[in-house]
Amino acid sequence: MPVFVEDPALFSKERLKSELMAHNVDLPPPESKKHAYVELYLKHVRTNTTDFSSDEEEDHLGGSAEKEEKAKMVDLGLLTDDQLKAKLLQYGVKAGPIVASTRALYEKKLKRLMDSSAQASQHRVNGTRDAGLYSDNEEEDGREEDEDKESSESEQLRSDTIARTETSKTASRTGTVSQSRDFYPRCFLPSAGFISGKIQHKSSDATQNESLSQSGSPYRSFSITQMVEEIETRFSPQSKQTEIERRSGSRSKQTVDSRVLRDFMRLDKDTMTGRSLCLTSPSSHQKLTVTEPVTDVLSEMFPDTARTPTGIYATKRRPIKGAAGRPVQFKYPEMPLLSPTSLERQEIQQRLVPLWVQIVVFLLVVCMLYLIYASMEEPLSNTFTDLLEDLQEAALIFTSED
Amino acid sequence: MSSTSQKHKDFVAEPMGEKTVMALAGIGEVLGKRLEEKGFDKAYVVLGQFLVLRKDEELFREWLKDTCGANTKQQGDCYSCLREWCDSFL
Repeated sequence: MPVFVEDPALFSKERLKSELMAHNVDLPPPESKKHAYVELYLKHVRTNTTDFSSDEEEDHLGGSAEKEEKAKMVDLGLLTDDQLKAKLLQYGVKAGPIVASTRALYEKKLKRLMDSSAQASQHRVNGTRDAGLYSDNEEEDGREEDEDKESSESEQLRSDTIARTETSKTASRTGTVSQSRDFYPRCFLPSAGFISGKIQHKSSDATQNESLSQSGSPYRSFSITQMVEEIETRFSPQSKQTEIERRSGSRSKQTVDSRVLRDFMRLDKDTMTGRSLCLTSPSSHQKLTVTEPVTDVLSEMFPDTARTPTGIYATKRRPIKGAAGRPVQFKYPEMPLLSPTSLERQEIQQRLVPLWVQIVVFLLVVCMLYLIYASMEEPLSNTFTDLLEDLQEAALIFTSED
Repeated sequence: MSSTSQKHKDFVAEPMGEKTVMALAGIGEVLGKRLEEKGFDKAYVVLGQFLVLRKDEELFREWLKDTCGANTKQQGDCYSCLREWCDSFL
């Protein structure tokens, strides 16, 4: 029973009073302070029941609970209406008015509740009582944030540039719904597109400038991977050899002219922060720009995969679309917001003549018909009257013949 | 309660006025006698008990069982009858 493990100092004065009464302890004078009650409670009640240590809990719980149970059963009848109500509230039951006709019922109910909770507490393991306090959602959120942080940190370590921390910061900041849609394409698709685009228009300066003008925030991540390469080629001695190997393997490399490369470096200047540029020596610039087409070829061969120099893809974890309560519509930008049937209906409605045109045409026709009718010289004779007249005539002829 | 008895319909159809307990669905001769002995001679007295138990089904059923020894079906009939009456007339 949860009641017995609690600290008596936390009890309300009312409850202490009722507990003391339940154990047939003389109450202190009514104006005495709470600690007097607590002392009495500790002296009388706690000595009756056993002190709980976590080791012995299993053994004592049953017995003490039962003992307590019996004491309470006897005392239920002695409780005042208010006490009974308070006790029911402890068990989460909001009692109605406790009057003569309902008291017996509530007592019975309390007894039943006590029984069930005593049974439950016998089966209870340490610490499981608070399980309801922790919701899955909180944990989920926390974990997600952690992962965001982790990924941003690792990326930060890898690239070790200010630019990256900037983007990762924005990433972790925008990690949620609306802007992440902008972010992920920024990471992968534009860079690949940019690379291939660059290869196609390698010789022309104009297109280079065009891509330069386009190189806003979306291409920042590309410059980062480039920067990582740059750093690695600067620091690893083997990179030159591999670079040479790659160079021999590449077919587009020979067409590279240095002016384009310089332009490309200008692009770097724009997309990267100044610091990384300051760190890189001119020779490494040259080296880098020579290696650049090689990766371009590779990414040309595999346009869909984001290339990294090490072959390890340190990408931000992509969220499962529509999972974890994120609205699906934000995750599928290409997805139509409307259902196929409503789209169809819209198409049909586009082809249809608008309603007001229909009404106007209808009114025009009605007016025209009315004008025609009104302008007729003799009104139309009713066919039925014609028929009747014919019949009458026939009858007259018939009678006259007779 | 999938189907309701004629007694139920009659009771729910109009204000209870001065009807006796036996007009309540689920309360017949025997149970009505027992209730009258305990002072619950009119249907509105039972309604009062029902209301003072905050329309709580469990408690009302329990009370009915204790007071007149109604079985589960009788309890259910009486409870739903009073509840529906309250829904329409309170």
